Amino acid sequence: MRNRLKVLRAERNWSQADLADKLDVSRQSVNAIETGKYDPSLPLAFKIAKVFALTIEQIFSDDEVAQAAE
Amino acid sequence: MSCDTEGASKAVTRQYMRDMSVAALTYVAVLIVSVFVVRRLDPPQWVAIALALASAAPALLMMRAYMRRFNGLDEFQRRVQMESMLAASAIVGFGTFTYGFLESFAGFPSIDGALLWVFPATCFVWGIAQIFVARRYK
Repeated sequence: MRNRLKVLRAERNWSQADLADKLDVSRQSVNAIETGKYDPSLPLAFKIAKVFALTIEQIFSDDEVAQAAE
Repeated sequence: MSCDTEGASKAVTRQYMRDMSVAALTYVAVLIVSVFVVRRLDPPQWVAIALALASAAPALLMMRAYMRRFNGLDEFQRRVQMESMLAASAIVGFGTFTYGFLESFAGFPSIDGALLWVFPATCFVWGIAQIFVARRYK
C-alpha cells in the first residue's frame, strides 16, 4: 500500500514526533508507515485521516491501483 | 507536544523496569533460600517441591510485568514484539527438539537441568530477535 503521509506531514511542517503525538503512537510507527514498511490497521488509518482532515483514499492507495494510474 | 508521546512511552518503560526489578529481586531472594535449604538441610520431598514451585513463581511476576508493558505499546510495536516472539519460539523450539533427537539417536550428552534453560533462552533470543525485526521496518 502506498501513502502520502510524508508529503502531507511536510506540508504542515510537522515532525514525525509531532504526528506520532497527534496519533498517540510511537515515532517508529510513523516512520514505518511513511516508508511503506508497515500498513496501519483500519482504526489507525481513520485516525490518520482525521488528523489530516482528509479521507483515507486521499492518503492511502493500493499499489496496483496506483501503478495503473501512473 | 511530542514530549507527551515520548513521556507516555517513558512512563510505560519506567513502570516495566520497576515491575521487572521487583520480580528479579524476588527471584534472587527465593532462589538463594531454596538452594540453601535443598543443599544444606536435606528437606522432605514436599518441601523440595514447594521450594521448586516457589523458585519458578517469580517468572509469573516477570510475565505480568511484560504484559503490562505490551498493553502500553501501539499496534506497530506490538507487531514487532509478536514477530520477535514467534522467531524466538521457532528457534528455541527447533533447537531443543533437534537436540532431543540427537540425544536419543546419536548418544549426544544429556544436559542436566536442560528444561530450566528453555524459558531464559527463549527470552534471550526474543531480545536479540527484536533488534533484527525492528531493523526490517526501518
